[in-house]
Amino acid sequence: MSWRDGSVVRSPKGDAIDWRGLAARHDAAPHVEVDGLAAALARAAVDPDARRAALDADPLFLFRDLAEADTRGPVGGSAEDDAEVHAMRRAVADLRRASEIARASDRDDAGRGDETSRVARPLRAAAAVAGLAAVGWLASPESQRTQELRDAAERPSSLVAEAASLAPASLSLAASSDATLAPSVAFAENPAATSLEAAAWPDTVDTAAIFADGAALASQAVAAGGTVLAVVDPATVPLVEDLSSGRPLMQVEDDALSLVVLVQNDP
Amino acid sequence: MSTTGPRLAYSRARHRETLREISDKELLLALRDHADESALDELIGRKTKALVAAAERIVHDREEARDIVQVGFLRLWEHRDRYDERWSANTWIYRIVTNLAIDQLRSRQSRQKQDEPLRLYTQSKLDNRAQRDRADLQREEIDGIFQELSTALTDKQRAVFLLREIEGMPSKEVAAIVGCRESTVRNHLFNARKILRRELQARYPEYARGRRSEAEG
Repeated sequence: MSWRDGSVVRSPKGDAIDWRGLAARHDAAPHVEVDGLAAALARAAVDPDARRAALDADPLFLFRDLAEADTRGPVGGSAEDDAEVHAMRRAVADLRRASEIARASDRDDAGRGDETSRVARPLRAAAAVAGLAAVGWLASPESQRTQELRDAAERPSSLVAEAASLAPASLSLAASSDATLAPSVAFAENPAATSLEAAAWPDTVDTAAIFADGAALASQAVAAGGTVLAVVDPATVPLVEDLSSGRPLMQVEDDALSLVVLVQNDP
Repeated sequence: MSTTGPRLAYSRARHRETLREISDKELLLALRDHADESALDELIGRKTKALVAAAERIVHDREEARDIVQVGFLRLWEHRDRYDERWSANTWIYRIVTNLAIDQLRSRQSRQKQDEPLRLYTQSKLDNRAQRDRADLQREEIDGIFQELSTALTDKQRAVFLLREIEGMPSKEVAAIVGCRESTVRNHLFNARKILRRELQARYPEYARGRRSEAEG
């Protein structure tokens, strides 16, 4: 425990912080780094006595409490933070889609003035696109493909046939051999998995994987009780979209990929 | 092991795991060089909380701040090819969001419109108090004080104080974000601190106790 002596805080270890000196130097030149100030403020963040002395020396140190730390990855925050991040990702994905459409519209409306702010304009475009999609008026090639994939996902009984219909006619799922599946490669996403079990695919779209020569994997997935959401040919369907949100998943540009398989186990 | 089996060409989950380990700057480079959407998702995960808080302190409205950050990430994506790796990732990202926030603030036309979000903000803070623990409550109280006092600052003064004194960014980065010279940052900072200290003493003397007793002594 430390104690306060005027503006100087001492700890049992004997170290001291000259808060008045630090505050005076910071006040004289707030645009430059004052030696020792960052460390002292870090101490004040955890030591109530140091905090009191800091605020006595300069009340504006109060606002240092407001700094927000970055987070690494979507996990580890509170449920509230995770929800905020998830909502932000969805909103940004919607904005991106709306922006692409708005840019096409702008070309048509070239020369017409717009007084809307830089923030309001894309948001308005996103709302308009969402409205059009809701009433079924939006039918870009990408959204049609998404709908095809969604339709396939909603008809599990005919899933393989539906998926195969999206693949080139020369490829037949039924003709593929399950024996060609190499588990150590196929399940690199989950090294502990040795077969297409539900546990190997705990999530839905997040576990989407893109395999070269995915026909064998598709039939394996069905045999194991899983669901093949779609089998698509990158040559004809270069854009693969997230099945739950409709946002682009990836652009397939690798000619070496003969087939793309999105697999989901039954919930 | 069979050599004729399917080859794992791409796994989004595995790719995301990789992205979690790399720096902000490397994520921006993945955006710029590979149009990597997962990199954008990762940046959203890392930066949303801090950016929304920063934007909120400029525009005084949580929902508006969220809108600003959404558009900021959209711009980050659309202008990804402009990223210059000599800039720090934070400078690049905060520059986009801070300028959008200032632009949004200036686009407000009437005083009534400007006051309304602040009133709602204050009310929502009060409403939420009962649900917060003590640490959150103290933080929210300080946040509310800053929101109130910073209305006395100009847009640029508020942004400079926020980035330098709260976010702790070097003056050079602040200058790059706000789009002015370092000498201007210094002036904004001096004036912002002077005004905030005066307002703090006038409205919250319990927080300005030390400074006042020093002046009296």
